[in-house]
Amino acid sequence: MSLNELKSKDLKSEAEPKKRKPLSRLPVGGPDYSKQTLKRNPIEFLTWKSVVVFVIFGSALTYVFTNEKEKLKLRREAEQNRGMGKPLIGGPFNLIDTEGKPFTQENLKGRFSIIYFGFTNCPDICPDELDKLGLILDGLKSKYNIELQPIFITCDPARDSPQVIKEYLKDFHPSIIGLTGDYDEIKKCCKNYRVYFSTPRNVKPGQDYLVDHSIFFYLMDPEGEFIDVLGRQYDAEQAIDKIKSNVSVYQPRAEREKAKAGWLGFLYK
Amino acid sequence: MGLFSREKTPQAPNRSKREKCWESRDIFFKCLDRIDVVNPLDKNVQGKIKKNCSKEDAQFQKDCVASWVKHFKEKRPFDIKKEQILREAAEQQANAQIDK
Repeated sequence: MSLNELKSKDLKSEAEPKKRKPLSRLPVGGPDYSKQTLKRNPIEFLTWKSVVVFVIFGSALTYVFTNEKEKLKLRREAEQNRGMGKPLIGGPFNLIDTEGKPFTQENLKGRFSIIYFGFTNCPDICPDELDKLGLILDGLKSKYNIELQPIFITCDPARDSPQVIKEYLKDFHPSIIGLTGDYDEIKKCCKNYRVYFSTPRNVKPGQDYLVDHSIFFYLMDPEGEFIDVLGRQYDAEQAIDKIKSNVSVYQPRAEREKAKAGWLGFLYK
Repeated sequence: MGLFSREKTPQAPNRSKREKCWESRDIFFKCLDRIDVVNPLDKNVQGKIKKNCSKEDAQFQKDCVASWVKHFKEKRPFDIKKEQILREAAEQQANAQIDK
């Protein structure tokens, strides 16, 4: 082995690692990046602070808009339920309460009411629904501090005298107001509330019969107008939520009309 | 009609009376379940009911007014049918989930 050969071998082994990629690819002698400031870089705006601000504002706006949208939807539904001019559901009635005092649609004014039609000899559904009404009333009061005026109207005026209703309602929530009246008044009232019932007109006292009737809760606004109806499919919790959302978006008629006439009126169409 | 004589004073059943009636109804219906009777008003099963559940039936009629007895007896086949449909639907749903 000559000296030259040895040298070239050494050179080879020295040259080989140089073929690998250098750790730093910055060309030696290029501009000194470490001294450059990032001032002109658009990435500058994406500091963590700005991200936080963006997320907060974004979610706040999304919340406000979805909330308002929901409100508008509920209001529009309520408005459709109220109908134009003559109400679709509800209207004047002239009945008497369990003390024999008159009770008319005027008594609905000033607070939200919930109306239920039934009869005291009802075998199974009415008592269940009235128990549920008690839960709804207590839940609304304790959870949202909303107090409704609960009203029970009989479809069976022949048997349900004020005294009978008074006795019957003792089993249920103490705030429930029981109403009855003569046959024609009850019939008119049921018709106004689109309640179907099958009470015969001429029944002898003490006769044993059942009344077929439709079962709904009617939610009325503080102006005595119909807002919404709740069927049997709602349990107490769902009913509480539904009533709460309807109550919280409520606007009096004058306010509703003003909103409709205003520049945002198209939203209510 | 001995049942109606009690009804002379027009007073609706109160909660405890209602619950008593429902309880007797459930006992009677359980008896019907035991002898596989779906519709207690079916003419063909009257003998069977009389033989096996007459005591329960009598108690049921004693604790409930006649119109309620009729109502519950008419309702029973529908309730059983409804329960069956719901159960089948739930089973189908469960099977569909297993297939997935």
